[in-house]
Amino acid sequence: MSLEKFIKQHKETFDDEKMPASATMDFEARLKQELHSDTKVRRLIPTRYIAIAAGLVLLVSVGYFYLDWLKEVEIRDNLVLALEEEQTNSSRLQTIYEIEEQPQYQKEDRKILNAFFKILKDDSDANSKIAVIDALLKFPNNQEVRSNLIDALGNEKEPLVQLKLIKSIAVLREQRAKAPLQKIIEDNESLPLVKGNASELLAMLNQ
Amino acid sequence: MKKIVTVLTLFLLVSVSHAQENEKRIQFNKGTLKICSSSHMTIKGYDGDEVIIKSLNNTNRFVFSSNFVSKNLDSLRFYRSTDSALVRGYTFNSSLSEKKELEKGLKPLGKKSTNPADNLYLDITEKSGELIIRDYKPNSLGQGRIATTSSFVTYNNKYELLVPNSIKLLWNTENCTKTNSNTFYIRTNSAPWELSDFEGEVEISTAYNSINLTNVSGPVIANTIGGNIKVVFENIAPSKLYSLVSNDGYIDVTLPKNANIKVDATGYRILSNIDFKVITETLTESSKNMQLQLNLGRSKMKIDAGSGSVYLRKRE
Repeated sequence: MSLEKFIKQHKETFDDEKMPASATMDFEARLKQELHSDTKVRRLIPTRYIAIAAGLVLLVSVGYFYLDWLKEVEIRDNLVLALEEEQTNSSRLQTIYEIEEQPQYQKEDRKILNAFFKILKDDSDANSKIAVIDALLKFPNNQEVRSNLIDALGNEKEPLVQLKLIKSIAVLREQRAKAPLQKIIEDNESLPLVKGNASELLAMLNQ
Repeated sequence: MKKIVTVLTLFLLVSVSHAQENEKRIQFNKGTLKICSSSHMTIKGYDGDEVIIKSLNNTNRFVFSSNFVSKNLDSLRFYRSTDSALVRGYTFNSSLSEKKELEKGLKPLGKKSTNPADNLYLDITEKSGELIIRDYKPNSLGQGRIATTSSFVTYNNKYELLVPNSIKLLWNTENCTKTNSNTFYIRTNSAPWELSDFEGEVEISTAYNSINLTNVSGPVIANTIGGNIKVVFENIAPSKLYSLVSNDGYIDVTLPKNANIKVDATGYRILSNIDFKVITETLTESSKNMQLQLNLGRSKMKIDAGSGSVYLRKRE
């Protein structure tokens, strides 16, 4: 039988407007299955998106904090550079006060501490040294800070800074300061006021 | 030595006070003016090119002591001819009036002079970018034998200075020394050292002296041991850094109410009639620290009065 004849004989079967009962059942079953699987996809997609979004947020945050940290390091390095460079006393003082004010520098920072130690040792102006001593006193338990303050007491010649150092050592109750205090008391060039304060502190430390 | 002291006393008693009001002008409008002098000075800023020094010494005590000990210089030829200190004194005295007559109406020519009177009894030197003014000290020449203490000589010296706004001012009232040798003496003159209307950068350091700053725009770095610091913004607002440190004297600041300033103050007490925003307040063993803000807080003022108090006033 040719294909043409077969089609003519089974014309009704090929009519797509009328679906055989079995086909309808089959279709409905498949549709149900499809719909079921659809609900599955709908439930899965938001979770996936949330996961992807969370990943992205995490990545952006890490990147942001890293960049922020890099920026902070750069600002810190610039401040340290400003402290170390030769400049006017007022601009150096401005930088010290800026560092003192910023909350992020309330914790110990190696580079900043080193820059402060250098200002204490150098022939800087009295106000800068006094500002640095105030900044260093925020870390009373740091042994290096304590040692540098004691060294400064032994070497300092400016009376106003000497008086500030004596007051600082009194707060720290640092026994190692006895020798530099004795040196100040015996030095003929020391101001009587400085000698008086040094003697008082020495008596306190000897108690 | 006894003779010398007698002569000194004689001159002090006999000498007639004749006011000496001289002026010296030095071309200097760029660089640093370094004043290392315990003489009392009132300094004003102005828009000019010269440092103008006006001597306000009006006691003969000053003229006598400075001239007498200056024998190493212009008066040397007088003293060679005799050994008696008393004769020297009289010779000197008679020549002084004669000299004054001869010099009447004339002015010293040129910038340099070996006569201390021509420099108003100040030691003025100029080197690259720096003009240094010191107290005239004949003893520092190494030949002076008269034990006139520097405090005696400088105690009476008073000067008024006009300085260009374009320069930087370093002013140390203790002869720029950090030693005890010539810094610790009692002053009976309690008048504060004054700086006003100056627009350049300033650094002032004193001991047992008070400082008054009026309309000084800054930046200002000032410190004192045993003195007070008074700052008044009379017709300007603070815009640059102010750093004021005193060991035990008070610090008194008068601010305009529209000042944009952050004040970091430390002292035994902190008193004010200004409506500051208190940012932090910390008590230590013997002092109090406060961070205060007025308006936007653009400029910075750091005040450390040590064991002295801090007064912050509103400009009326």
